[in-house]
Amino acid sequence: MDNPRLLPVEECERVLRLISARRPKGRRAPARIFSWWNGEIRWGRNTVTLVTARRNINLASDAATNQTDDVSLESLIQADRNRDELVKSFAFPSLGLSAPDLPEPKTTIWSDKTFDSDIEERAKFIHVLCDAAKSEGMISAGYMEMRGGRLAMLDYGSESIRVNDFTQAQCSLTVRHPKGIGSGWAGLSSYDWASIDADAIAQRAMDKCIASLDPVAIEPGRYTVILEPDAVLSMVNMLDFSRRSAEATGPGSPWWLFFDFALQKGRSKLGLKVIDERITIQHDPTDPMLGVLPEPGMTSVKWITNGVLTSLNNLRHDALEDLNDNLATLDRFALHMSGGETSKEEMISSTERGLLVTRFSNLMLIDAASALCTGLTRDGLWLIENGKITKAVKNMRFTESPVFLLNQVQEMSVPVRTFRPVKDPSNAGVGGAVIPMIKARDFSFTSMVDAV
Amino acid sequence: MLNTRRHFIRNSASVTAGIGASFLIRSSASAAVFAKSGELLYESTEDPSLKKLIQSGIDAAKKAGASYADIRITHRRYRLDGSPPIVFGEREAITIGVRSLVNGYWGFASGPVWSRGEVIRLAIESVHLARAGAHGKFKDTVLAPLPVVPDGTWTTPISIDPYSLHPAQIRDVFDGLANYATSKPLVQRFGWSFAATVTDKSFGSSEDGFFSQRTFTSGVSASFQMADGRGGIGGGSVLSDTAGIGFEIVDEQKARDEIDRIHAEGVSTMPRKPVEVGRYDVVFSAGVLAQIIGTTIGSASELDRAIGLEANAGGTSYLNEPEEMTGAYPLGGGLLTVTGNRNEPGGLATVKWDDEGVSPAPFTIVDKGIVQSFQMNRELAAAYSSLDGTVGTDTRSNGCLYAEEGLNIPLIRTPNLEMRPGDSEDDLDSLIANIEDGVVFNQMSLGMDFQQLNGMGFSGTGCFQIKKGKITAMLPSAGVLFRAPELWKSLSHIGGVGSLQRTPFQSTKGEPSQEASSSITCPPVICRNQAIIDYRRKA
Repeated sequence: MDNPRLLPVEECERVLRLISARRPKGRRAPARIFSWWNGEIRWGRNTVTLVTARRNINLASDAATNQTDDVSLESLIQADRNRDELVKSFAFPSLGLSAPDLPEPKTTIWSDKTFDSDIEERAKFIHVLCDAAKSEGMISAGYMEMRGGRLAMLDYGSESIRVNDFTQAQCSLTVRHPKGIGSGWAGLSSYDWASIDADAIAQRAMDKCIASLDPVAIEPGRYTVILEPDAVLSMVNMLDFSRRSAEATGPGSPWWLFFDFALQKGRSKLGLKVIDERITIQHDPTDPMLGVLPEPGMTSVKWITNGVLTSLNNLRHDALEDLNDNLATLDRFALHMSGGETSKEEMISSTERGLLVTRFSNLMLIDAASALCTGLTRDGLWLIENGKITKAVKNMRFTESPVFLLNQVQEMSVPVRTFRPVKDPSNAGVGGAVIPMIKARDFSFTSMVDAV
Repeated sequence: MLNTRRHFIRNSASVTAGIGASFLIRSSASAAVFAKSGELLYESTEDPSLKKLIQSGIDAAKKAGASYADIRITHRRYRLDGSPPIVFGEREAITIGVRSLVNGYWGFASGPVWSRGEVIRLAIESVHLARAGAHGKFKDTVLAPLPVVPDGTWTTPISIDPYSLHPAQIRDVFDGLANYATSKPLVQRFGWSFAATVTDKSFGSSEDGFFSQRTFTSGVSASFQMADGRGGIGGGSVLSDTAGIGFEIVDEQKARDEIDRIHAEGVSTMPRKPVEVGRYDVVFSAGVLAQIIGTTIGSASELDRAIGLEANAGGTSYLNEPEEMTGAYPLGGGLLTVTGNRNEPGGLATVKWDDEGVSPAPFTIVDKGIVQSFQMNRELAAAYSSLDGTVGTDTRSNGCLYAEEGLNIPLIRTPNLEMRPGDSEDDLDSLIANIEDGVVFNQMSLGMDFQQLNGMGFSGTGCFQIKKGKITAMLPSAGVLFRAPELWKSLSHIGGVGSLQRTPFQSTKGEPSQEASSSITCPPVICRNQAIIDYRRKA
């Protein structure tokens, strides 16, 4: 195929086998080739500002290059050899056991609709969307992306090459009032462009902008909140499921989130209830809603099961030594959070006084041990009084922990796919998120901000 | 002549003997399967035939209908080493990107292959993409004029090319510092890292401009910890900098002096106190102030951000009416003057030409508190011709367009910034001595809103109480809440020229997001009557 978007499988295999045969013996990372293509459209002020098509490859042994010609490969192998010379005096931790030869899970991550989507068709859609914003006297800015990727890997000492192809689609937009007195946002990502209703996203952003006009200031304080799924995801993303050994943290400095301070046994909270018992958070590679790039031995991981901490993010070294397990659970960060059946309207109608939050932004962790973070509301915040939305309110800064939030849950909606694209095309990793809307008590807003 | 990768392989025996420079040497730039067989593949950005390659792409874009086109070719190498758990690593990327303007709309195509066939394909594709983006009436996109550079070359002035050193030599320097530190009583651990990036970029345009420039960036971090076994801890950073220079960034004598100084201070006996929330006079160290300048003035005065083009990405700006605000908006008091440049030696944003061939001249962003100009590219300079202070049609871009590599579309990015120092000889200590009852931030994590308007800063171990001109306690829970214009209007004292310090500033922008770095030089300052909070306190 002339000028293929992705490096052909045969070429991936040729390169990986060449590297495998010639790279120096010893402890080695898998050799991998990642090839990707991105088709992107940006727009701002109701006009398309840029249309792009980009592709690249990344070939990683211990060093990395984006070239696959013979001279480059020889250079890469030489770099591995020289690196060995440089670091030969270092003691690498021994894993003790070789990695198990396990099958990859079957995942759903490829969509022809995404990969073959037509640029003219996509651009026309953006034009319609921009015209709609213009006709309402608003300003639209946004981004639409289609991505295809191929990850080929050859584990050290193995003969079999694993090749996985995947796609990703995303669309998001911000609609603003030209005088900056209102702003609305909506977005969605998925491996499958066919599952993204871009018309609905555009309408949602427009509706939010119009409904957010002329916000009024209210006092910061504790409020009952109805968090839309993208706001919930921002908070859940701050949960750190890392397990860190005493050596890593240092004795007496348990700065990680799920350390059990109460028991004083220097251990984690595995097996203990940490959040609301209605909540389960898991990574399931076979979940078609998540779009997970598979790995050998990747299984479903339940971080939280009915509110109980049931897994931590282990290095394989820790799993072997401490958990009598032979599998790492690193990078299992596609998230499916359980929900309920309460609709947004029902949540609002049952709220005496509270706030409806579209999304959060600019989150910062300020205390790792409690996951306390600060951030801002953005693109639509409304006051609810006596079961009705009564006014748009100015944005606020919050200071809150997701652990506290998920212990104060009153109601949850059916979980839905959210906006969680892999931003960097050279990163094949993280998958999507399926998250409910939640209503929770006593969310802490600490100051008002006048940014719209 | 620089090594080519083929030279490297021929001479690999000398490399393994520890003499050679780099592990990943300049590539022949041929992701062969993407290129048509038998095509000429290029060795380096110094290959004179690259100009012909670029011209092939420009010609193809024009033939396909582009009114303007430019091409960036980059070869970027990166190396990182450090104490465990950092493991020596190297990577390189060779990319090319073609940007075409058709009927006022931009198209861009990029990839990893430097070949005539590929550059022509990218050129045609970029024109096709630009056409797809067009809608309704053609846009009147004008690019501000510039003096065309027909054949320029430039290299970041450095003293020691990090790629001329074998990694073992670099490691040896830090091993020496580690031995020096750990030989002292109570010192437990010495950690370090060193990163170096060299980027070769060649640029050509349909206006017959062509240049090649090589830029260097080096970053170093080294610190040690000490403990007395009774709960007292000490130590600190002995080297921490990122700049557009070479391995000379590692000043061994300075590091040893810092080790001596910090070790002599011993373990900390500074009492820790809870913060009493209220209004206080605040001293910001130069390093902390640089972060505030970078966001509230640097990012905020990027013109694309100010007019809403970045609304769906990094956000907008409180400086959102550029035409009305230029020359009129009182961002701060009379002590605040901030200029932008891309030519200061050692600056992270320093170049000879920006990513569309503009030779950037220093410009004033804020003069005595009044906003004077915004950061621009050629397109926005022409569209907002009154903003650069020139008259009539003689408008110029101030040269702020940048992309890390040819793969990426260039964006307007913050240049190096410099705040004018005070006339006094004040430094951080003398400013602290000026405070009756206040706090000083020596370090700060800064969170801004999406308009760069409202900020919250907090520190943990870098904020201290000041009583009667002396530091009396650490305030681990103290933070500061501010609104940018009010903060800048509260500026009452600024350090003198001797207190100027350069600090690296990094920002993220665009969709997909791209990183960029610049250097910010400023003195420490006093801001009066700031809101000091307990940043961990919930409502």
